[in-house]
Amino acid sequence: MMKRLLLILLAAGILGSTAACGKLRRETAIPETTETYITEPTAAEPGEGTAERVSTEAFAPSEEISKTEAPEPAVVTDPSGVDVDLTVLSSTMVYAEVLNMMTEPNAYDGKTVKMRGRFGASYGYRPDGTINEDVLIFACIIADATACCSQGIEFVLSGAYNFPEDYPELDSEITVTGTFKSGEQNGIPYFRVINAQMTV
Amino acid sequence: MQILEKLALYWTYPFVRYALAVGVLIALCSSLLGVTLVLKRFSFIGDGLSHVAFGAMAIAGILQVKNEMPLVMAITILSAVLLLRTGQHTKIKGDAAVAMISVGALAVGYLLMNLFSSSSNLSGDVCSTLFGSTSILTLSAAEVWLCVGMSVLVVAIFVLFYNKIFAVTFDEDFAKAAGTNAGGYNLLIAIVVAVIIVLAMNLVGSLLISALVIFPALSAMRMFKSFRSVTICSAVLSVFCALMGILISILAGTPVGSTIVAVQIGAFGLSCLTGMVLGGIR
Repeated sequence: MMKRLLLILLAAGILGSTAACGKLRRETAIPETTETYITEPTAAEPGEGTAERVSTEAFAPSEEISKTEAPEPAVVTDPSGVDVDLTVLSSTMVYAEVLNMMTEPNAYDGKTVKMRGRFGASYGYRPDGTINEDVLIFACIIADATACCSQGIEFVLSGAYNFPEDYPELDSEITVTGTFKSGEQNGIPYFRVINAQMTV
Repeated sequence: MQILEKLALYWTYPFVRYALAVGVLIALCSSLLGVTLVLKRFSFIGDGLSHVAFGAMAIAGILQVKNEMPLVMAITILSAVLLLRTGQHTKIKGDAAVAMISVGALAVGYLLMNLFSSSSNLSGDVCSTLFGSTSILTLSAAEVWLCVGMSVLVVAIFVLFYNKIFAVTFDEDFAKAAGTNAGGYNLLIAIVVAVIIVLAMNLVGSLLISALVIFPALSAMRMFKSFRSVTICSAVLSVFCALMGILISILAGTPVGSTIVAVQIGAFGLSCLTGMVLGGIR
């Protein structure tokens, strides 16, 4: 019995040290900030046929986009200085990382994020929950390995652009690079990628 | 990008290390009790209890319980006790009781989620719960520590009561005649199985938990004969398959739970071949 107890204590020690290692790395890798901002991305409805449908249900109010002429192209070819590069991760890893962004958005504040997914656009919502057709929001919809739990991240391009002329077709694959901003509005935490540049 | 470089990159992500640690622990615990359950002809109980846990999670979600683990654990333990302790002495016998509770809990859970859930992605939630999806990669530090604690407890119970579990597993009547409190140990096994099921839902989801319980035990039985060697081989195989499954899934971008089960199926095939080569065709 004594030998077994010693064995158990030894196993517990090893297991404990493994878990502690993970926690330390998390704290040092992603420092927390306190800046706040806007947007409410949630998991998109699975099984819906179009990107418009997905986006409409997936995103909450955002700032109104400009409907003036675009001063510069919305597409870049070689963005650099990326802190969180989702494009080099497998779909399983991307899903987990995006979920981490949702659950701990403050940890990613100010980071440069690069992501790849389907282009989605939708109207925003007014505070009373009704659809606001004066507000358009754009998102990069990222599917997970099981293809049941797509996640959308809203992005706002740097500069002013017209929709649909300056944007790609809905559902087409896009790569977006920009600065992660988190915060809350009306007590609801959410985030978006701002100053974004997009390649198709 | 080379596989090793990719692994090195992924290792920098805390959730990958959490997943590997928790995956190994759950695989170890499930394989230990798996041998007992297979020998007691309760291979399918993991499936039944996981569906109960699914129903309990639906209830916890409706009640908007912040930490759903205690409620899910309590309901699952209660069901495990009912199935394992009283199943043999009731009008509804073991396999029928497991099947009834299994499909009943699944149906009621899904019904409740549809009627009362406030989630914007109900189908996604259900899919994730049933198939594990990537929930093992989205664990918080607190959940990892809870899993570590529970796993240590399970391993401790198994090691400390190894002889009694062995006796109750092979010949319950003889164990009773020898003065062993068989009922008490069956209760203990039921509780431990329920704990493992609830923990394992994070790894492979409700529908695939049975694979974690039975495949390592059955694979080990192809190659070894004694209870001890089968248990040790089962634990080693289970941990290896879990590690390989998690690594393959994050590298190839496949669902974690089903990848682990696929590796276990492969291991079972290899074990059968090994058993044949060793002359132990059973």
